[in-house]
Amino acid sequence: MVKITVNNINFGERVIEIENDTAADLIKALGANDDAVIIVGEGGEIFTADRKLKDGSRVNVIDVFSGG
Amino acid sequence: MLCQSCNDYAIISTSNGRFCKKHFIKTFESRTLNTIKHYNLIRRGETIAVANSGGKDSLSLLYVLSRYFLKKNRIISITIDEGIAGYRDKTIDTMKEYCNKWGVEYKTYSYKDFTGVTMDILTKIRKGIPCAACGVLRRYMLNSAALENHADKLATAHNMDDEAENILMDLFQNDFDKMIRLGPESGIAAITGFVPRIKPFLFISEKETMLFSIINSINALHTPCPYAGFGFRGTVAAKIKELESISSRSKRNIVERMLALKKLYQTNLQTKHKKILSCTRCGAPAASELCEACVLKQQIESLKSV
Repeated sequence: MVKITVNNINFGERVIEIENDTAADLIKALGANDDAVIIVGEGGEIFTADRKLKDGSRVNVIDVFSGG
Repeated sequence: MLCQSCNDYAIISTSNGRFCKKHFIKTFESRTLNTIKHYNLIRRGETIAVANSGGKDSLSLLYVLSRYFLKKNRIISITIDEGIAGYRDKTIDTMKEYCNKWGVEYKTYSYKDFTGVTMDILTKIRKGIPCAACGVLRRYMLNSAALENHADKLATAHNMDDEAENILMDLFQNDFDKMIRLGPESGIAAITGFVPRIKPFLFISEKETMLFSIINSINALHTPCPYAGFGFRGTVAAKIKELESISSRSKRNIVERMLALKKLYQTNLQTKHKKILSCTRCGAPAASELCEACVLKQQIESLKSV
C-alpha cells in the first residue's frame, strides 16, 4: 500500500491509500478519470497516468472543467 | 511514458499524442495555427474580437493570437461581466492583467447595463437552468460588442470537448440542422448584424487548454463558474470525459464525423438556410419577430416589476 496526500480545490486535503503506486491508481481511487484531472507533484512536475508515485508524497489534483 | 518527440518524460497523453512540456507547447500552438490556416479563419488585416472571460481557455487563446497575429491584425479582447460575485470580478482582474501584459486592448460590457440585473439576481427571480439564459445574453452581447468595435470575426475559445458536447446534445435533442451549423466557423452566411464566430481551439481538448495555461503560468482561476454543471450539458460533459478515458479519440471522432456530415450536407444547407429576420425591438438578426435576448429582456422586465 502507498499513502499519498492529495490536495484538491473541492475536497481540500485528503490522504489516499492505493494498492499500486501509479497516478492511474490514484485517479481511480478518487473516482475520476484521466481526461478529467491533471496531477501535479510538489515540485510542479506534471504526471501522466502511468507515472509512479512515492509513498508519502503530496500531489495536487486539478479538475479539468468546462468554461473559461 | 516518454515524449514521442524526445526522451523526456511526457506530461500529457491524449489522442493528439504524448508530449513533454517543450513539445506540448510547440504542438499546441502549431495545431491552433494549423486550424486557423486550414479553415482560413483569420486573414491579414482583419480585426479579431476575442471573447475573453479571463479564464483558462480564453486567456490561452488570447496568448496564442496576440503572439502570432498582433503585428498584422487588430486584436481586441471583449469581456462580458455577467455579475457573478466572487467569480467574474476575480477573472476580470486577471483578464485586465494579461491584456496589459500582452499589449491587447480590452473592453468590458455587463448584463446589469443591458438588462438591469446581474446574473446573481437573475437566478433568484427567474426559474430554470441559469446557463440557458446566460448563454442567450452572452452570445447577444458578444456579437453586439464585436459589431460596435468593427470586428471582422469573433474568436471564442471553444475546444474539442465543448464541440463534442454540442454535437451530442443536438443529436439527443434531434436537432440535426443545428448540429451541422457547428464547426470551426459559424455564421458564415453573410448576414448583416452578425459577426462570424471562429474556434481556433476546435481540435484541442479541454485538458490541453488547461495544461497549456498552467505551464505558461497563466494565472487563471482554476475553478468553474458557480452555476456550471446544472442541467443536461453537465451530464453530457462528464460522460464525454469518461468515454475519452476508455476510448481515446472519442471526442475527435465525434467532431470529425460531424464535419464530414456537414460537408456532405453543405449544398443542402445553403438552399435550406432559414430566413433571417431583424428583431423588431433591437434590429439584431433573429429567427422570429423578437430575438432571443429581447424576449429574455422582456421576461426580466416583467419579473422585476412583480
